[in-house]
Amino acid sequence: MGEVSVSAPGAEDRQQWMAAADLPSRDLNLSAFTSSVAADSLSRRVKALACTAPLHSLETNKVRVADGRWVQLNCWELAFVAIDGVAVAMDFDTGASYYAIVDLIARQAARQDPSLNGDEGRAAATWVVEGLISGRGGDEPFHAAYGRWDDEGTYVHRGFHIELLTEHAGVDGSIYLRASDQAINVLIGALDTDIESAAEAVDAKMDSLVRRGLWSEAVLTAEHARYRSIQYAEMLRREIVATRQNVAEVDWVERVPALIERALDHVLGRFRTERAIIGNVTRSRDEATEPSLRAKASQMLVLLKDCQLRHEALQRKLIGVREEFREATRYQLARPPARVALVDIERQILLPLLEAPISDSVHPLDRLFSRLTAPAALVADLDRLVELLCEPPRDDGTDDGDLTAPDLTDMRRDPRFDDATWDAAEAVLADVDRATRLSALLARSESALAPGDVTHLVALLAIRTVDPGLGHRIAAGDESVLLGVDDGAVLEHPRFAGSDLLLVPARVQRVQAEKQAVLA
Amino acid sequence: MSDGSDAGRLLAYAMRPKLTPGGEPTGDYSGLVARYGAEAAFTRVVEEVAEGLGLWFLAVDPIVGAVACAEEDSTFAMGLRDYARQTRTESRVDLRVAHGLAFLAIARLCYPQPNHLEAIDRIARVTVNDVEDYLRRLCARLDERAAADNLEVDPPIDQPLLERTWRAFQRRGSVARTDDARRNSYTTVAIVAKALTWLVDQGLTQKVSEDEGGTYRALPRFRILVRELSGGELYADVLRLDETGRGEAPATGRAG
Repeated sequence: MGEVSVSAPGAEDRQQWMAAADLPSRDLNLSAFTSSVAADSLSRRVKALACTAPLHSLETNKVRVADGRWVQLNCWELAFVAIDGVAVAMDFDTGASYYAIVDLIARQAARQDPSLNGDEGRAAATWVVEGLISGRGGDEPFHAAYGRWDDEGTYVHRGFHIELLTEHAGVDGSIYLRASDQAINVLIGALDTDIESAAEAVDAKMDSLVRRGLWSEAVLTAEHARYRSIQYAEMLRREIVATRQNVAEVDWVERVPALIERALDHVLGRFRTERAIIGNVTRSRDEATEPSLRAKASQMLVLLKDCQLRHEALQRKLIGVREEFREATRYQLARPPARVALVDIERQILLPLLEAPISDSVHPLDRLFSRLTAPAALVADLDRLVELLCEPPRDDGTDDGDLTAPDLTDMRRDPRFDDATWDAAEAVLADVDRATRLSALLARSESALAPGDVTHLVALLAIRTVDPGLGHRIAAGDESVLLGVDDGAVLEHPRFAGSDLLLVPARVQRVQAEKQAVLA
Repeated sequence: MSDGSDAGRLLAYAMRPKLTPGGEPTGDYSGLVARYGAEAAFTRVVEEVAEGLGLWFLAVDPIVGAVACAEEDSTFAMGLRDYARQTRTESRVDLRVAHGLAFLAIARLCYPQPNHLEAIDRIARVTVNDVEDYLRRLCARLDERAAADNLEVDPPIDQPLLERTWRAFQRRGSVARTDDARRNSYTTVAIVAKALTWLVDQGLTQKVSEDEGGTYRALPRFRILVRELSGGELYADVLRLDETGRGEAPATGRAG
């Protein structure tokens, strides 16, 4: 649309102008959107919405996976079940077991689509859980952008990482899942709320509900309070972890003690109100005559008891938290101060190596591999050794990999004689300093306190002396060579038959001038 | 029990990387790790025994346990030649380099930022496809840069060892089929997959699923190893590259 011309307005233009005059001013007061309050609200809502993105992506992508067999699933619901399950299983030290959560979702998936049971259901469940886990270092799919106004009123873009489920390592080496604050907020619908004020609101609501006898509402509120307890526990756990990483970063003088205080207040408040509800619900269950009402009340009681357990767990942790903090401090202090610099692997290591010629990069890379491999990996890992030994010969490929030729260079076999036997047999032969009969050597090797089958090896080595490969031995710089001569004598031995060779030691004499070697 | 036998047991634990003391705070392994941290005399004995065997401790951590490495000439050492049999001959340096790069790229994707190396609670995830893609993208970037700078990067025909490392990786195929439909072990995807499988055996990663060519999570032990190596020995190696002058290779001469 062209600009409105003030100097020569046409009839049509004027009409538009008049119509526009009835509308609110077009010249919006932008400051209303750039105040810090408004900007905070915008970014909070964008972030809250972004937290649901992984759920939408599951729902959208379900038609594209598993050949469309999972179309009947409601992935939003499955994702909520997953987050619920993880949040409820979270306690102070661990979280939910990955497989327990997969089972939980698989059961829900089977309810949604009864044809999906067993492995198929578990496959779908695994897909859902994986879709909710963030933390992959490659392309972060859990990423959103939002904008803020800085002090000068300029709009700046900022990035934001979404976390729903995260994986953690337990002290026992196991891996477990935890739900992030973001996930818990999305889950319980309290988007963009401050945890403290929400807890107070829950308190007030609960009191009035208990007074008015609205049990089911009260139970729902109790459930929300349970999530608050989970969140408090999670906040404390993070402080402890941060302390283990760097004790200087955590404010254990004011901030954390204040957090502990608030959490304790919360727990004590919960105990009071929930005891009241439990009393009331128990009474209405006992007084109820209708079976369905009784059943409903019983269900509520189970849930309320779980809420109480959760608060109790938090309370126990709160009592012990200072000791945990001291422990974390000790851990941090026991570690030597960061000896190594933290490097940017790509910029400082990978790129320089990629640019180097392979003759230079091969050594650092080889060393990296050796370091990542625990000592004695080959020996210790029998499985791997067996696998290696039984492996079919590999195709000796070209880069395009289509030419195949058997790799015959490394068909391993256990040696017939072990090293000790070789040593002993070679010692017997090395000891020959004058012409000696094979029968005498065999007798000598049998009498020797030697391991394994030394005699057998001596006999075999003796055969080699008939044709010791003189040229090769001389070229290799051997000082002396043992020569076997068959003078017709017959070997009389219980195990071996043939000629009783005469073994003669010969010294190699080098004649420098002609660069020749002769046998003395 | 004497210090000597305790030291030996700690070393024996170090040789079983999948075993961690974390699960049993009162167990034998935990006790040894605690002694190592607390008693200077015992630390010395352990380190002396290790040295005699050609081993040294990279870290001794209460959760991960003892992380030991073998000196190059130690009988316990294992190199890329032992790992990938096809690379045993001297002429397969290019292949050995490709295998080594896979490990480095895995480390980079698990810990993209320096502070990730200190994040004790972080469990990183990595997939075969991500690692392969990532290396390919880096190589392509270097290619573009070389083209923009008009750099001659092809090695002289009689000096194949002057080939640039990224080129040695890049010219391998991603995937290929052998006649009998097995996964061809010379392709980059197979090289990355082999590396991740190897790390599982070393107690450094865990397999999660077959998705994306194989999805793995990196365990705390891997973080400690990468932190210590990238900030120490490996970094020193790379700095030394600069000293010997990558630029001296005739391959870097400007063409045109």
